Amino acid sequence: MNSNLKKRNMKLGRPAVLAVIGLSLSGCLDSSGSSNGDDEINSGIYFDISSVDYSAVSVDASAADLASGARLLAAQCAQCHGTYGVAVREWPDLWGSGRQIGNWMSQYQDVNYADNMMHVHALGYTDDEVNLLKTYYPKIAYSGGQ
Amino acid sequence: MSNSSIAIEVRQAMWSRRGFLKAGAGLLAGVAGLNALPVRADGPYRIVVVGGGFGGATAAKYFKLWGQESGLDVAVTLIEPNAKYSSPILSGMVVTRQLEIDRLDFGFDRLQDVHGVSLLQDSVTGIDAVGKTVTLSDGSTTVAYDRLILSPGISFVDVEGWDTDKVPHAWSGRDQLQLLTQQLADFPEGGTFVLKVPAAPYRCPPGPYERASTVADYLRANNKNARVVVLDAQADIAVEPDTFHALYDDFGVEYYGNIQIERVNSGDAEGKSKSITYVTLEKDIDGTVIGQSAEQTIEADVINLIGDHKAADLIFDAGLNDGGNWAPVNPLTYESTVAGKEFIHILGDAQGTPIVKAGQAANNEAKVCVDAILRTLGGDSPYATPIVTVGCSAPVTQTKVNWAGNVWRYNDGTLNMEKVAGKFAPEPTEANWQPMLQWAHNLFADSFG
Ligand SMILES: Cc1cc2nc3c(=O)[nH]c(=O)nc-3n(C[C@H](O)[C@H](O)[C@H](O)COP(=O)(O)OP(=O)(O)OC[C@H]3O[C@@H](n4cnc5c(N)ncnc54)[C@H](O)[C@@H]3O)c2cc1C
Repeated sequence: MNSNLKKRNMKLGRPAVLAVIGLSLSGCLDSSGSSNGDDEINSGIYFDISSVDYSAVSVDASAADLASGARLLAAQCAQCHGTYGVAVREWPDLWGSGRQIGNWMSQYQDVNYADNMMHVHALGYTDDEVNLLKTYYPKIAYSGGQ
Repeated sequence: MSNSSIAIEVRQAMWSRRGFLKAGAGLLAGVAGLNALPVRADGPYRIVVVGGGFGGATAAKYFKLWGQESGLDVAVTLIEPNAKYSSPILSGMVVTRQLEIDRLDFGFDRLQDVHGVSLLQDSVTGIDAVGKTVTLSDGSTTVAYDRLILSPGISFVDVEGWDTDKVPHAWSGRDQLQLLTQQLADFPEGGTFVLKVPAAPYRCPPGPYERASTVADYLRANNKNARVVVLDAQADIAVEPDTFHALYDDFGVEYYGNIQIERVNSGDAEGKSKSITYVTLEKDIDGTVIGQSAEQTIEADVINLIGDHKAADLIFDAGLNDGGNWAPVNPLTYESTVAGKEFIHILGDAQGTPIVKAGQAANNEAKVCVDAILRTLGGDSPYATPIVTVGCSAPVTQTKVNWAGNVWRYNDGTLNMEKVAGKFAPEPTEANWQPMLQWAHNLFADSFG
């Protein structure tokens, strides 16, 4: 069971980061005396917030005509899936997706996903609300790198 | 675990779409092509945002993005005293020296350079709700607004003898985080660490319990042979009691519930000889206090006193608390419901809806507020049944990570937000480590990028 999960993480994350976390943990375990200053930590963890190129985001003009709630409900996905659904790191993008959102939401509502944060978020949305999400994300395109 | 392999397939399917979609990008009209209609005769609509944390930064950014999309000319000024925001999210990893403190510093360059937000590095000391201006720290400079958005976070209820320069809460702000980290790095062998869990409502409900278990594990890993004591205002661990009791049993953490702090001795000039004095309250089944124990005192080397919370001072100074500890708001718009305080909106930990006090909640409340204001400006009404989704994730030991998810929805019967879904990780795992970093990274980028 654990090896399965590990495998998933290797795919989700950057192997280099995982390796460095391993190092920093053993660094912590080995150190006995008092340690001061960040210089002794070498986490390898960075949160670069500049990777999304907003000039490469386009919003179809017809998005303005969508029903009230479409943009707002879609933005409730953005804190995990990136502004306009353009995710940072290896994490699922939502921009450009329509029917797939419906499929994903119903899959994640399934009890089999109980060990997954997306499960509980999917449970919070009604079918009508999922339909609003499906109208919004197809209006977004992204031509930048990540 | 077959669940996770299904998850892999779904996720891989999502990624493989990425390359495919890029080919089709660029066919749609760009945002910049829209014309901005001025909504005031004499210039752009003036939004002033106070506080550059999760609520304020997100509001500033989304006003610019969605204002432009809606063809509205919106000028956004963000007022924040610090050059950079220090995120409390993942700060537990700083305390246990698994993450450099500067990795959680987020500046406002992107808000300014990419999104066109104006930044004033200053604090707001007063609000004139009638004249619609805020006063800055010099006491005389004022900034005019059409709508004022406040996301100033929290402050702490005072405790007799509490000097936060010696006894950190480390629950808000970089200096506090640094102080606790330093004190734990200098922790003496055989020393005592005491952590006080505040009374609800407070920022990040699992957070204090997580901090106690991660610190206990960190001290253990560093062979400190420490005594670790948790003093909880709640009758019992309020969040995932089974998980945390098991961890505390494992690490030999002493846990006491129904604790009321009487006073704290913050220590001498060198910060030595600290102690914390408390009583144990006796309560009946309704939770009414019917008695209390004699006072007890614990001498400690490090005390992490996470005091009871209230809204930041600005909320009280501006009369937005309406006699309570938080700012009452309409959850459709986050506008204050206090008479005479129209056009003032409060987001995040400082506002008084039942929504959990979390950075992701503040981010999402900001979007509800921005959408409502822009809709109103465009002659429309706010969306009638907003949702606020919240995720939290943090280590509970040196290697294992926990997560919690909640969804809050507007109830048009009670006219308030109510929790409609909520769940914790079945157990803390190592496998949750990378998803935690990915989740946080996206939250940081959506708020500050
Ligand atoms: C250990 C820990 C772990 C956490 N983990 C999570 C998690 O996993 N997920 C999650 O969602 N949340 C988590 N949180 C909670 C989260 O950090 C807060 O809920 C969030 O920061 C609240 O955002 P805010 O915008 O309301 O306030 P803050 O982030 O506190 O920002 C307030 C800002 O306002 C500024 N300010 C205050 N007064 C003034 C003034 N008068 N003038 C100008 N500026 C002012 C301050 O300088 C500050 O920058 C955690 C918190 C802690 C302590």
